[in-house]
Amino acid sequence: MCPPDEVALRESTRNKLEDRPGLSPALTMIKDLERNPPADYPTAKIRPLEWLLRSVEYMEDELMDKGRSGRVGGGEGEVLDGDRSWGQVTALENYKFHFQRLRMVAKELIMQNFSYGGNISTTSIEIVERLTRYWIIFQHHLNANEDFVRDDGKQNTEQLTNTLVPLQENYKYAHMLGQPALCAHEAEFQAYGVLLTGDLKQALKGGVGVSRSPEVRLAVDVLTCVETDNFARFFSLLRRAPYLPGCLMAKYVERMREKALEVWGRAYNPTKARGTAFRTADVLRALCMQDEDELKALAVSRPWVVVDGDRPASLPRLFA
Amino acid sequence: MKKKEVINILILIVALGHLFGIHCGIIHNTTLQPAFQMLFRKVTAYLDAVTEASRQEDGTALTHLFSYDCLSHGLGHQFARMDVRQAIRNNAAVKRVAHVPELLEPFLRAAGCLADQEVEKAFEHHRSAFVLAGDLYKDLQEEWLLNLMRKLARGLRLLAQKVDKEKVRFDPIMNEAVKAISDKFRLFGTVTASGRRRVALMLANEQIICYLQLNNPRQCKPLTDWADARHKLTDDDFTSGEFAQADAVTYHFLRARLFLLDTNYIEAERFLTYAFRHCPAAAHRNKRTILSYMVPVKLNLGLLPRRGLLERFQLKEFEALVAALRDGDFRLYQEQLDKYQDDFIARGVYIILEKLKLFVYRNFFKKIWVLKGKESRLSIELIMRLHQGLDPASDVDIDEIECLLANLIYKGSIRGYIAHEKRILVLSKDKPFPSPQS
Repeated sequence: MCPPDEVALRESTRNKLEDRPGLSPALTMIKDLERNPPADYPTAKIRPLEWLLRSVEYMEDELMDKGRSGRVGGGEGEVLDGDRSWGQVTALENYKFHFQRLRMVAKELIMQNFSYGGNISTTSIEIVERLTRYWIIFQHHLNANEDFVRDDGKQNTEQLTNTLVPLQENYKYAHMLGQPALCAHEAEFQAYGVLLTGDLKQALKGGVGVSRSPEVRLAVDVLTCVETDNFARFFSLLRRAPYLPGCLMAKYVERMREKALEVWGRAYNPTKARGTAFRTADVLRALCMQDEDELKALAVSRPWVVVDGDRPASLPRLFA
Repeated sequence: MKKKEVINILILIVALGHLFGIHCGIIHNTTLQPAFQMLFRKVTAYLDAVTEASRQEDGTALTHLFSYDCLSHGLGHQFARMDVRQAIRNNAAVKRVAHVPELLEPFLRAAGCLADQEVEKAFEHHRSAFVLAGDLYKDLQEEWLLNLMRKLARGLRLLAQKVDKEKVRFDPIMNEAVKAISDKFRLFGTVTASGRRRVALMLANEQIICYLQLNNPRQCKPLTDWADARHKLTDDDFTSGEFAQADAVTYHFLRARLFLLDTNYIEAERFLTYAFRHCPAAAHRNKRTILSYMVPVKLNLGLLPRRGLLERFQLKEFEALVAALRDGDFRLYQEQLDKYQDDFIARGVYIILEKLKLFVYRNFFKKIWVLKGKESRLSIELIMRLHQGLDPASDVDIDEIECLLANLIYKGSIRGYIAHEKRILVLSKDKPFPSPQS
């Protein structure tokens, strides 16, 4: 997963996530991002596809879950090496570690011409698909982290686009070569393209039948709900959407909640003087909120929304 | 008759045929058949036709001769194998015609590459021909060169489309096509002389089409600013005869599409109406295309098309939709949206039609209100049961029905309010369902 010269160079300064007790650094270190231009990169140092896949699988299976709660270890009963606990990182440190190494994987794929009509294989497509999924998950899990949003959010979105677009081109190339077997997950990723860009025309990319697949139809349905202010259907779809599409739908949630409050304010109040009471539980379910704290946070910027313990929440009644 | 006499008669016929320019199987003189109907199989025949058209200053014929369609596949292969420059130089007649040989060379090289399926190389040569035509027009301002530029610009875009379809590239070659057209646009667009504005409008149209195909409509802003802010073009300018009618109609159609993307339906409707009115009656297909955008826009403004109009232009995709909208038949409406979804998305009218679904439901709710004797209170659960009865396969639940009602009240299409606790729709006693136009 890491060339010997880099192991020797970084052994004493390796990352906490590469410092596993009982295992030699050569087995746990993963190649870090090198910023020199691809043209200057020695060919001998480029990892072959199988190594790249192995590195990615190792990170996914062993390291990515670390730091979600900032806690030590990967599983119950793990023996700590003396007073050194391995892998104790914050979620943001975990992200930065993976961001650098996965970017290096993507760079080495490009250096081996596995993009834009060059080489193509099942393994290269599998790696790029995994990378795309990771960027989506990272974005979703860290979007409440202010440091991430300020420093890394834009870069992550850029990486997501830089991975998804070549992947779509790879599918197109696979179809041109008459290898549809390489496009087994095409519908999934075309759907991500629709949700990420908010552009319905993305649904028309792809091979025959992709635009009619359940994944793409869900994405089209979601965008339609957003554009037509059908917040009830949007939240209904959010509740039953698979995990990754749900992560991408999160960016529309605030807009839909605001629209719901705006429409309810007009539709449920016959006059400005009277209001309509809603059960807090009904509002939480309708707007896919997790708890009253979330509703209170929404209410902070809207003084006319009253959340009061067990009493039902009153919705806005003073809309002009 | 003896055999020798028959042979002599045949020789006489062939000689007379040469005199009148008839060759076996190929008619190659414009006096006998217009050049734009001919398919050329021999190099000399083609070059002779070009010379003749230049001598007669026949712009239509010349423009057609710069079309790949008039060259047979075999002739294309010949151009691929030969030294095109030498072949043109060797033809004494065409060599003497001003400017045409310079244009012919890249064009024939492109034809050769196309015959050999080297589309990217054909694009490069075609671009050279286009650039050259633009430079010549700038100096000479001849009408045939303007028409030729139009043809070459369109050809450049179509070739770029073909390359991008057949090859996977990091940067679509359409961007290079746009750049070439944009360079010429800048050359002509900065001058207010009417001859230059004609060309600039034509080139603006081609650029807008390219940007729409690249799904990058934001890049059209400088082009719309050129027309609105810089030259302040009005309808009078477009009908004054300064611009070719085809370019004026195309421009209005493309602007309408841009307004649609901005959800500015009022301006979209205005531009589409101009395009439809000024599109010649014989251009049935073009009129149909304009209508395919106009119908959703006008529906959005509360105007239903006449059935005869939809039948005359074979707009089948809208016939059932309009009927469903009128009758409040949400099931039929959804069926039609599903059936033509890809087509509507490609045109960019899918969201407009989805927004209209709210009014389908408005008409459905109104029917229930009428059936219930125009009572001022309607049970939302009753509405839900009726909805389920009419469309058992639908996944619409009572929350969504309530959301639809709430949105209709919010938009003013229903006058009333919802008593949420009892799930009752309370309607105003005075016109609870105002007309959509109001």
